[in-house]
Amino acid sequence: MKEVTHINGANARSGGLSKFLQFTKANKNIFIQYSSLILVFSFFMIMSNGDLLSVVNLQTIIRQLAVLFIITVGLMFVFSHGNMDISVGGVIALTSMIVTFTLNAGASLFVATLVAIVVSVGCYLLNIFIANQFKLMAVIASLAIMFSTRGVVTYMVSTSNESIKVEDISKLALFSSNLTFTITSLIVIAIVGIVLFNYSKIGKQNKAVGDNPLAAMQSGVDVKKSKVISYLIAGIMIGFASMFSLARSYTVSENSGMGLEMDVIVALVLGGMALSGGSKSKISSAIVGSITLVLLNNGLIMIGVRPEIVSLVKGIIFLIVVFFILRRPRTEVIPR
Amino acid sequence: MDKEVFLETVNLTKKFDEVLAVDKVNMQVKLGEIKGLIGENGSGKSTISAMISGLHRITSGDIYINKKKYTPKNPLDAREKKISMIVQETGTINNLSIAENVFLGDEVRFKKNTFVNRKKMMVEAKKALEAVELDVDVTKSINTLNFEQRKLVEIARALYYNPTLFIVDETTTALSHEGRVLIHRIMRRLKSENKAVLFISHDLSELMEICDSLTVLRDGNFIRDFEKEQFDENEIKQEMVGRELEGDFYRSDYDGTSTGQVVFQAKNVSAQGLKNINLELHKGEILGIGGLSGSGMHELGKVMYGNIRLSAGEVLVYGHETPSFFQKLWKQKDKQNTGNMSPEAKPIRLTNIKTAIANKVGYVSKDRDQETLILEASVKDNLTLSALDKLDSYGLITQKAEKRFAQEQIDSLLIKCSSMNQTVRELSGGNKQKISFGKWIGNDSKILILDSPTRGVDVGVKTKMYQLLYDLKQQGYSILLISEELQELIGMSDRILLMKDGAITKEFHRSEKVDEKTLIQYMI
Ligand SMILES: Nc1ncnc2c1ncn2[C@@H]1O[C@H](COP(=O)(O)OP(=O)(O)OP(=O)(O)O)[C@@H](O)[C@H]1O
Ligand SMILES: [Mg+2]
Repeated sequence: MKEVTHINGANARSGGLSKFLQFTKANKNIFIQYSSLILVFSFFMIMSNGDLLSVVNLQTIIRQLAVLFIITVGLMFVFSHGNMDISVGGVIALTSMIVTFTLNAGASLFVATLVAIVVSVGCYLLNIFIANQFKLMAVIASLAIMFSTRGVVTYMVSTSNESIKVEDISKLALFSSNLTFTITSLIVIAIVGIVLFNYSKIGKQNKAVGDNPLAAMQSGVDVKKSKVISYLIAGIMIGFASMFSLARSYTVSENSGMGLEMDVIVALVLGGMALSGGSKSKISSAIVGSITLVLLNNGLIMIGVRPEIVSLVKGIIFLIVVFFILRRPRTEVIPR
Repeated sequence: MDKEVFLETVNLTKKFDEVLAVDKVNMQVKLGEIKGLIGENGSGKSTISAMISGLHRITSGDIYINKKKYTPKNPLDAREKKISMIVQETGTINNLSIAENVFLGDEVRFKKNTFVNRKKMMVEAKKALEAVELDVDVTKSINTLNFEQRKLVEIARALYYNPTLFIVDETTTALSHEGRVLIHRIMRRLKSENKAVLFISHDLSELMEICDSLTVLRDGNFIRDFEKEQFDENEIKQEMVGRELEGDFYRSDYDGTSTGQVVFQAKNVSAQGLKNINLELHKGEILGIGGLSGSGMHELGKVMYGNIRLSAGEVLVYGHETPSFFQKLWKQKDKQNTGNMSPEAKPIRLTNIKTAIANKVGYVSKDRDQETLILEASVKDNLTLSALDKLDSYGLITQKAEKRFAQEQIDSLLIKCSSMNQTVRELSGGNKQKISFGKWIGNDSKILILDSPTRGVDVGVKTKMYQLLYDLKQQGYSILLISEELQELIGMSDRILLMKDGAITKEFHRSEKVDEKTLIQYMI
């Protein structure tokens, strides 16, 4: 490439600044990604006089993080296809309910975790099967899954005389109070996510399909298979996340997991992810975004904002970030 | 008598961040003249024309029209000054009707009160398309047209506004022989009407025939103007690349014999636009396919790749199948037992792209932007996408392996990019073409279906590509070369099949006697 050789005086002086501007422009999404994390973090650090990082609160944050972190990483594979999923809340509710029954029937924690993964994978495979079979947009299929899973849970809750809850809560101790296990799980999942997404055929094909399915297909990508694999990964991770979710309340109600689907989307957007998917998707969006959102939630509650208002605040932040992501310069889209 | 200058650029410069694409170019386009613009891939030709037609903002320098300063902010400003341009890439928008595409961005023209007068629009679109001899139902979606027809729609759009300056960016290589004749005729007509034409092409003989003067660019710099009487092929080439070009352009041997071992075959194939096609591709053979638009040659490429459903017949590929995971395990056991694998090649029916790829068949589409490239992805990701299996070791694809692979292709095809992480969308047309070529050359495909593989690449790289194809042939690769460029077919093929109206009508064997005229006779 030709070097820019003739920098005149004026250019040289403003060189530093213009370099910086170019750098920010080129790395806009990375900027959004980390700046929202830094902003949220510093804001609440100041507002809470450092209590944000107190040992007690850190533990709370990690517990709150577990569920959202795992499902966001899992769903990243779906979102990078340009697909959207809004069934995750329902799937977690249904999975938690079946796990509760399994545990109450005397099964071990290991078996219960396997059951969780099987149920959740089943839901997600059904999702992509419906989408493929009826040539629906995946988000519409996930709407169907959302209603049916939520429907089953609501029905069961309303017909059972007592509330559905885990009888022997000590069985779930590993997921509820063992912080080392939680942290290890998060690290392992982050590593698995990063490797699959950046250093394996699965992730690479995923991104290509998200951008141009036709070209991907002609380059030897099995588009259908790639989609099924992404839903499979999501299913496994979400099954695992259900265990953490159940371990926080031990009960299943018609509201279990409610709102998670929106949290995932907000987290991804806060993490700088363009929801159209494709090559620009980064797994770090899932990691950074979910941490940011949990910090935001936690911080708002800590400084005394009422929970009803928290949603509103999230909504507004969502809008602002979307605005920044969608504002692309015109030259990027015109044909040459 | 001197012709009147219509457009003049003074120190015209364009920078994309760090990349200086056009550097202080001074150039004139005169009325009643066809001006050629030539230069290697990425030398700034498209960028200059994009600035003139308001697609790109000018970084510095000026453009004057009729001696008055002109700073277009968008394509509408250019239209007002009667400047029309055919862009190098696809300029039509999918999922709109043909008529809507003809009047893209100018629907207001048919606005009555608040509604667009559809009927009038249809009638006008029909009229516009007559100029390019395209007879189609304009209410249909643009998706029903093939690549060439879509280009014709763009030409019709440009001509509808009766341009004083008509810019044609690298369009002729997208057109078949008749399309080319048509656009040449249009350019000459405009010239005789005392309009100005700016013509960009990599086909030097075409430029020398059509143009009245030529401007040579290199690395974004103006190099030299040639007037018609100064035209000299070698001199122009030298100015273009800045050094002496060496080596033969095409292969120099006339040995068209092949091994006789059939590796790829179409048997009585009928499909959309194709009638009873029979062909055999041998190991180590370059088989050229030529024809006019509507001859079905591009469809044939898709059929051979399993991309179009057959209505009769079959496509067979002879045993290159990559073993599945379990077969591999099985074979490894086999190996231990018997010590060898069976070399027997058996025909496999090719019905979809998956079997094609499993059998090491690769395909470069003519429509690179939509069918071959992932425009948003980086150069590296594009090059590696079809070779992931090759790069994969124990389920992991390391950065190192990817980079090595990509760098090899970048070096061997002289791909001009600021880094291998640059998005492909930002590359010049020819450099995109190099990537869609390179992505199949590097992976292990033993049979290559290449549809217009050298479309829009400059002479230097063309030479490289031909050399590469010849090397591949020597190594036993088999190549189906589909091309509108007869010279290329004659220069490279062991055999040439000509197609007409969906059928193969004539076969030529490699010989010195085959020339362009003979081929054309059998095509029309
Ligand atoms: N949007 C962009 N962003 C960054 N660089 C760009 C962009 N558009 C063009 N370039 C660079 O500008 C240079 C000139 O490109 P241009 O498309 O004008 O070349 P060209 O002469 O038309 O080549 P070709 O013969 O391949 O069409 C190239 O190096 C290209 O990579
Ligand atoms: Mg160009």
